[in-house]
Amino acid sequence: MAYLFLLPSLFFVLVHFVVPTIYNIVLSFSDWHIIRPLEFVGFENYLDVFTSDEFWESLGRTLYFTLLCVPTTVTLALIVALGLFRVGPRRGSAFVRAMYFAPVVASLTAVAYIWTWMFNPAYGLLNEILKIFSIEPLQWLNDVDSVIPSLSIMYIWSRLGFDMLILISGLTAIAPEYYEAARIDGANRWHCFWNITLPLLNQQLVLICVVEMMMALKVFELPYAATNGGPVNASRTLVMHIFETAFQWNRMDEAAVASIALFVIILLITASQHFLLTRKIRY
Amino acid sequence: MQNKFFTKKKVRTYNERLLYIVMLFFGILMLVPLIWVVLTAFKTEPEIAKLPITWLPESFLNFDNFVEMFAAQPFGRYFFNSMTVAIISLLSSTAIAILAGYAFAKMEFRFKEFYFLLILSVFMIPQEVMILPKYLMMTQVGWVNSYLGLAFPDLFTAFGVYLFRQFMSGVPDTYIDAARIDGASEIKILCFVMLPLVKPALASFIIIKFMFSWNQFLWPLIIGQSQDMFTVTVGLVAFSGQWYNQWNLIAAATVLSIIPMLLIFILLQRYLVQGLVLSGTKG
Repeated sequence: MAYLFLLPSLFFVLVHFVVPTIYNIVLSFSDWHIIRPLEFVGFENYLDVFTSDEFWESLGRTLYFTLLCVPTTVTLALIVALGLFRVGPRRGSAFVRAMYFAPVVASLTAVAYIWTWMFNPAYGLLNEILKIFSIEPLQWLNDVDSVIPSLSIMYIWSRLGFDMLILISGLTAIAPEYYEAARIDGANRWHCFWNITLPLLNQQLVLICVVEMMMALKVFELPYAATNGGPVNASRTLVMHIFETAFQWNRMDEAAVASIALFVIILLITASQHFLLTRKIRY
Repeated sequence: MQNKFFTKKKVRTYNERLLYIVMLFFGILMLVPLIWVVLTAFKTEPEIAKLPITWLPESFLNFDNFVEMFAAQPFGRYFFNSMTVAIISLLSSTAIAILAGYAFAKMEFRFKEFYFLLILSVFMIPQEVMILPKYLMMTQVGWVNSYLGLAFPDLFTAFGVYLFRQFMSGVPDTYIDAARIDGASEIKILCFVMLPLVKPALASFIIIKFMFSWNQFLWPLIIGQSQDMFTVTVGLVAFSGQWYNQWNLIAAATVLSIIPMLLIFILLQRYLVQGLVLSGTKG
């Protein structure tokens, strides 16, 4: 009887996960053509992908983007969460929380357009604000060096609220008795933060690090809508590389190799984060 | 002693009020991009190219951008498509998740732990790495450019199984046993005893799922190949490509694309927040 209830779920595990994974691996070892059947070619595709500059460059850009985004988002989210938690429940505090959280609901495509207009070198709001402080206008998305940092600003803005929510839920779960006991022992606020708040938030922090890392590594919408990979490919990310290889150059087999590479990278990073960051604590 | 205590408390509330103002200030900063895009949507073309920039549009009743937008591309159709896909995925994923969640929470069977871990592991794998095999599967069953094809990856959500299991485990067994003694079938117990008790979880799941489905981009970009099968996000990008640099029009389209999510955000924020927190804290 129970299996009947489980059957639909297990069916979808099969068609969403098991079959595609096997298919992907088969694809990566074959020569793919729209009308011809698959033909086994061994490691040829792997060789092609791993010797191509485009793959490594897009991977490098993606890692750079991830490195810019994840630590900043998590740190800012922690600061905002601590701030809002400290303010506590008072008139309007739910409203303030909603302000930080509002960008989360917008799709990343919408986020891309909202910010591309803000970043416009001639008529954008940001350069206008810089002018108030007598700072030279920046090129933002139009410059090879500043395009990835500009994209990470979009990303951080759109993800901050989610991480903040998770952290606030973690902060709420910490029993106030810990702080009271520490205060009696003469601990100052800094001690409390390092020895109570951070260890007890560890689970939530690891979680948002993992989620953000995954989200950043698979970033696609932001560069696709905002810059289309430009200028001169400076914002072409790994998923964008996979997408173009597969659907514009019709090289499914090579794209399959790149997807497997992304899969392995995400798996390794997720596993190592769990391993490195998770702290077992007992009080 | 008494006096010192009071002054200290006064300083604390003073600090907290200051902190509140700081948090409010940065909260407003978070909203600036959203406010800016809404204001831009009501401006005329000469207005957006005016320097120094003006904040408010000359008239908030200037709906020309929206009119022009609907004349240029079938946004009504895009909305209909996004809505249809969201409803198909909602019905399917909710039904499947409720069944499996109930089985895991209240039924006994062999290899329960194993099946649960299997389903959870699917949740950890990002869509993007499976996109090629899934696309090829869609071409083989002829679902490309169809609603079922667009909804395919969303027909099942492992997160839902987890969510409903958590909530249903919290329902006391006595309720279930009483119904079982009365001779009710498991499916009846699920529909008439269990579901009314987990309504908040149901609301959270539906809202969060709607949001994920509405904001999808890469998959509908690949599957919705003709214009009449574009979703809102894909249509937004297509529209912006057509009206390159007409930022008043792009802003109008962007605003329109996030209106459903903004409505949910304003009206059902409690469930949305709860859903996001639950989707995050699955550990």
